[in-house]
Amino acid sequence: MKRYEQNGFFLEIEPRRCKGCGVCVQSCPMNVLILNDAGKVEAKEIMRCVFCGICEQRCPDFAISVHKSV
Amino acid sequence: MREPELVQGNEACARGALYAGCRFFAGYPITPSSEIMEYLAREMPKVGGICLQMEDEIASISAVIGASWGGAKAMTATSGPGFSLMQESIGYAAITETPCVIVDAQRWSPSTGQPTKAAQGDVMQARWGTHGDHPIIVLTASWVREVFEMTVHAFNFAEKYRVPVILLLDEVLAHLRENVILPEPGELEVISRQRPERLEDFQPFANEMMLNFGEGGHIMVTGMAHDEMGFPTQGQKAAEQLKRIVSKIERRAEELALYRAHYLDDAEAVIISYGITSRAVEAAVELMRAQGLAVGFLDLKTLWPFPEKLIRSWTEGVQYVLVPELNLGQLVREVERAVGGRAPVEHLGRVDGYLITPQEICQRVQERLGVNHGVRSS
Amino acid sequence: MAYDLLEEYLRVERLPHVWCPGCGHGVITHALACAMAELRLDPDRTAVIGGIGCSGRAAFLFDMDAMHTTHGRAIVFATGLKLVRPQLTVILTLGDGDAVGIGGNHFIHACRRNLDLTAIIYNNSIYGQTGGQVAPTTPPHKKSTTSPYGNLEYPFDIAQLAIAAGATYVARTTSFDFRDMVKFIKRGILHKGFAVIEVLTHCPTYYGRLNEMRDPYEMLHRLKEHTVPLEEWEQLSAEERADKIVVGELHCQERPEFVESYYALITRMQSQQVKGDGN
Repeated sequence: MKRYEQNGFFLEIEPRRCKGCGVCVQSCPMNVLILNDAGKVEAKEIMRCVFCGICEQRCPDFAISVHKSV
Repeated sequence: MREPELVQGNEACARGALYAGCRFFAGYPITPSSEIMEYLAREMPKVGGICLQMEDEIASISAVIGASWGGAKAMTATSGPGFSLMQESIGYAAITETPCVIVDAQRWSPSTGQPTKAAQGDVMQARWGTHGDHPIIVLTASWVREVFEMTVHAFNFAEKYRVPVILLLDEVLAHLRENVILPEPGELEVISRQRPERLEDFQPFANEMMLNFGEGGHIMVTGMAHDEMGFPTQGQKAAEQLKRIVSKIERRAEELALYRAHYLDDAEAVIISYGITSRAVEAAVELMRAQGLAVGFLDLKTLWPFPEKLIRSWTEGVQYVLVPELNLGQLVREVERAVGGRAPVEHLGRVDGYLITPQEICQRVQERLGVNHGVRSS
Repeated sequence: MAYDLLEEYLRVERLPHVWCPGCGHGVITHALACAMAELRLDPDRTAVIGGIGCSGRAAFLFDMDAMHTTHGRAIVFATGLKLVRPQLTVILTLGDGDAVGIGGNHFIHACRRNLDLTAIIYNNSIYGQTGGQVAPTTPPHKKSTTSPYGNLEYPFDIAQLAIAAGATYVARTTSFDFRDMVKFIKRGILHKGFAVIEVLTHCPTYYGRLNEMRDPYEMLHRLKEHTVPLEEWEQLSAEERADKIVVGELHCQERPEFVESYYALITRMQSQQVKGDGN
């Protein structure tokens, strides 16, 4: 499980579950995500992330989620 | 001693089911079994049970399986055409080891056939109707009181071994009425499914113990080949599980073999029959015994797993074996296989929708025995 | 909804699941898990019954009693279960072929009977698991492995079929509209009666590939653009509605619920027994 922290929020990615469909990457309004050369999603520009959660809602594989760090 | 009452075969089946603790029935109207559903539609609500008429027979057997996993003893009843529709889900019940009872009141078949005429043509379908190797128990009955008893046996076997049990009746037995005294509450043993004491590390598909839905077991039930926990598996584990559930029934053939027998000790000729035909056999054997012929009969109540050892032992040193059945030769094949050439095995069939008569049976046996021993005088 | 909240409902150890990359089924299943979590359903008193097909595989992902039944028959397995265990919340995950193809007869009767079940229909307009054959829901002229020259048949409108057959809660949305899926599934579960939630979803591997929409993202958006919310739908003219599909809560009514009616009968019959005036 990969974790990307940013002002009170964090993004969690489970590469093992990601099937590299790219829907999250194309859906992200802030172009935060990319598919790495292993075909798995990665947060390249976490600073731009607004934690809107669209990636989590589009992901078919339970591989990416948005959280408020407690 | 209770007074005898006039009871129809179908009604005896329904009352036997209630006696056994059946509290869910789902079915679809079909001659000659509709009276079972009609009786249960009246009586189930009174005992807190449910009787549903579904949209077809596939829905009926499927609802029965769902209800069984809900914890209820569940049954459906049909005839040939509906029985054919049920086969896929019967296979699902077999692989998921779901206790349930399916009554097939046989009618002249195939297809629409003669709906109000009796036959015994579904014997092989009862065993091999659904696709693939699978465990199944098939029982039958000849008398109205026996229909009651065999329905209770069907539930007991289903619950004890977690297997679908088929009860084969026929149109005559289903519809005829007899003066009978039915068993009192407590008179017959009633068995319910065995539940695990502990939930932890319980394996729902490893043995005959069963946990119902809604009991916190988070049970996974699938018709796919599955492992002991119920999740899809393949190859070696699939083979292991299939062998386990099939041998669960096949290795118990002796224990499951219910039958009635008479005059077999000194018999030179043995008549092996089942269901409605056995009534004529009994009468014929009495007639022939009165004429001094050494004839005995074996009236099978369990057809599958086929009681091979039983047949082999009761036909030891016998001159002639006759298998009368209302079809063109089905169970006779199994009898031939069991006798293994040690005696001639002959079929006596009838497919005009009427019952084989005692006279027909006597004539055939006398011809055969007459030929072997000259005409015997009593 | 953080996944850890879903762990109470999902067998996360069985992820990754079997569905293809970019398939909508994972999204719908995620929405179902969220609906369960938001309603705080008790996993010990909930059951998921799946049929055969891609959608049926959802049953393996829920950490509760679950059944993966024969093709088209999930509804009638669930009928038996619900009647003997009325306190169980029973949810069905059906495919479009599963529900209105082979299972059509059971579907219309379940709607008519108004049994308290929630049927989520993963409508990807194709038979996915068997390799992309035409379905009763495949739009006209669309390609599949068994309509290679374009589908000659006219598809069912599942929501209208459910309403006509008597279902008392019918909603339709798409796998694009995550919150609507969660909302309608929650309402369907809370609704006392047969609830149908039809989710139009994308199948990139077969429907998409055979109809020039191989990219999941693009297919998802084409699907979304094809739909019109109920409120707007009413203002559209016939031409504007031509190749669009209305989504939203399309039908909601109260009608006696079958399980409740049956148990009321039982209570009545058994009280008559006690009073001895039963016939």
